[in-house]
Amino acid sequence: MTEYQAAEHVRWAVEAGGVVLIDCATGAATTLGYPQAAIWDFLTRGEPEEQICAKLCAIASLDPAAARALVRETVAALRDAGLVTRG
Amino acid sequence: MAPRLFAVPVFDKWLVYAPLHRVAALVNRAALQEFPEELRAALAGEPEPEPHPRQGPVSPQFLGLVPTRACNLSCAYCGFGATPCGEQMDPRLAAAGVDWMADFAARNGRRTLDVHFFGGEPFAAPEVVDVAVHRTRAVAAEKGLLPNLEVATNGVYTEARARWVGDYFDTVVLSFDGLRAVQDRHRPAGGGRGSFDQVAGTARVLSASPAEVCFRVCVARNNVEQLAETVHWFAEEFRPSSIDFETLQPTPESELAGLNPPDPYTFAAQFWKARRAAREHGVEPVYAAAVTTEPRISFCPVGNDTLILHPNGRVSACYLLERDWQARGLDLNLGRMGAGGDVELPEEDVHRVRQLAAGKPRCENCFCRWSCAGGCHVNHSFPGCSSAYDDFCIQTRLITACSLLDGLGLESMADELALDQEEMQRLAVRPSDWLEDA
Repeated sequence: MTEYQAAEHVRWAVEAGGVVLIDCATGAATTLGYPQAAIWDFLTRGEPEEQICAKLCAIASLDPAAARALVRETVAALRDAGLVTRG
Repeated sequence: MAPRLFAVPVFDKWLVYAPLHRVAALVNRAALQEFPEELRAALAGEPEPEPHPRQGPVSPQFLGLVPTRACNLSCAYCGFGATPCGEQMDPRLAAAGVDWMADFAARNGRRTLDVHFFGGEPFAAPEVVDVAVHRTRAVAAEKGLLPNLEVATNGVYTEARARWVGDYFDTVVLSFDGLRAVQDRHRPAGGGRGSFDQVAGTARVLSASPAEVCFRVCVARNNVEQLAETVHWFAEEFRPSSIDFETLQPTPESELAGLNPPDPYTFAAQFWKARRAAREHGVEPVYAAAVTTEPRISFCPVGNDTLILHPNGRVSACYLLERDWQARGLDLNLGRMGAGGDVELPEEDVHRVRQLAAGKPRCENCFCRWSCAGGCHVNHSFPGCSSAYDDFCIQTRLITACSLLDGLGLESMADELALDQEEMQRLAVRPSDWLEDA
């Protein structure tokens, strides 16, 4: 997986149950609950997919294949929404 | 029930203290024989029951996680023997511990899921912390609990990590001993480099974050006279909500480094001066053994059912090293947890540790017995310890008396007491504080 980072126009705030992303260009807010909020955290810290998946296994009690599928699905959704860009 | 009353001398008067009524008064000697009406009225109500060891099923205030004993500093007084590399907790074990605590909190109607991190330096095992923090937040959301995360840290990591800590933790206890010369002498990094610049940088980042920041200052003979100056600097440069002062616990390492505990009278006087400085800045000064808000028989996790989970799956009541308790003849182990979620907390072990909080002969006649509660079970109130007041007792008695006077609105008298060595000695070494012995 190519590394992704938060899009330039996106800011975020950590909240008790996840993370809220604000698209400063449109004013739209997107809330990510768990486990997607953890994926967002690791993505924005520039971690590679392998490392994210390994942590996600423990965070969400997933097997490695399920963790990888969830990471890819989440990244695709964020990319389609313009919230992340290729690093 | 007759009130349990203490009386300690303060100049030509007596400070009367009824901790179970939460009443204090300053009276003259004649009034010790016959209390004024106002004091009698305050003591007429039913007192709170004497605090006793807990009973019933284990009921932890929080889960403590020790992700690793490794540390990236080489503090001159550290007796943990920490090195940069060391055993790390399996992240799945950390997750299992969090799950157990979340189930417990939800089953018992708690509103928060409380998880505290200790070390070594927790961020020497960053993957474990990442997993445990996100698991805590995920499972708290699932169960309708508010995550409450606290970490005790040395602050030596990148600015990006410091920002992350400020975003994801509710409370950060940052070990920061003061101005450059003190910090670098007490808490050097490897190779003799100082840690001051990096820790000050972390403190700045944390000060701008939503986290509540508490500075923990280790006070030794070489920095005891600088406490007020340190407080002014901390408050002007950063945004701590509290500053916690702890006197140096001697270790072979500290002795080798020429660091010694402060004289207890000097510490009490300087703490009191620093306390005033902190209050001027709206910062809470803390000396944990002198907190009188609620009667207690333990001032630490021991006896309060706290579960501290170690990298090897051992669960104990204390985050200090097992070898240190064993040297005192103590067994503070409570059981085990496994990465698969299996948990063993034998009732007899929980009962044994709870009983340690009772039966501290040195405290029997001390007016601080239900506030200081004997201090650290490993370093101070261990089985077979001396029954005579030691330096910790002396400084605690003095600061507690000053705090009670301050609570009565007698701030200037507290200040005078903290400046008068002879008067402090008269108060500090009394063998019995019971009113009938006054």
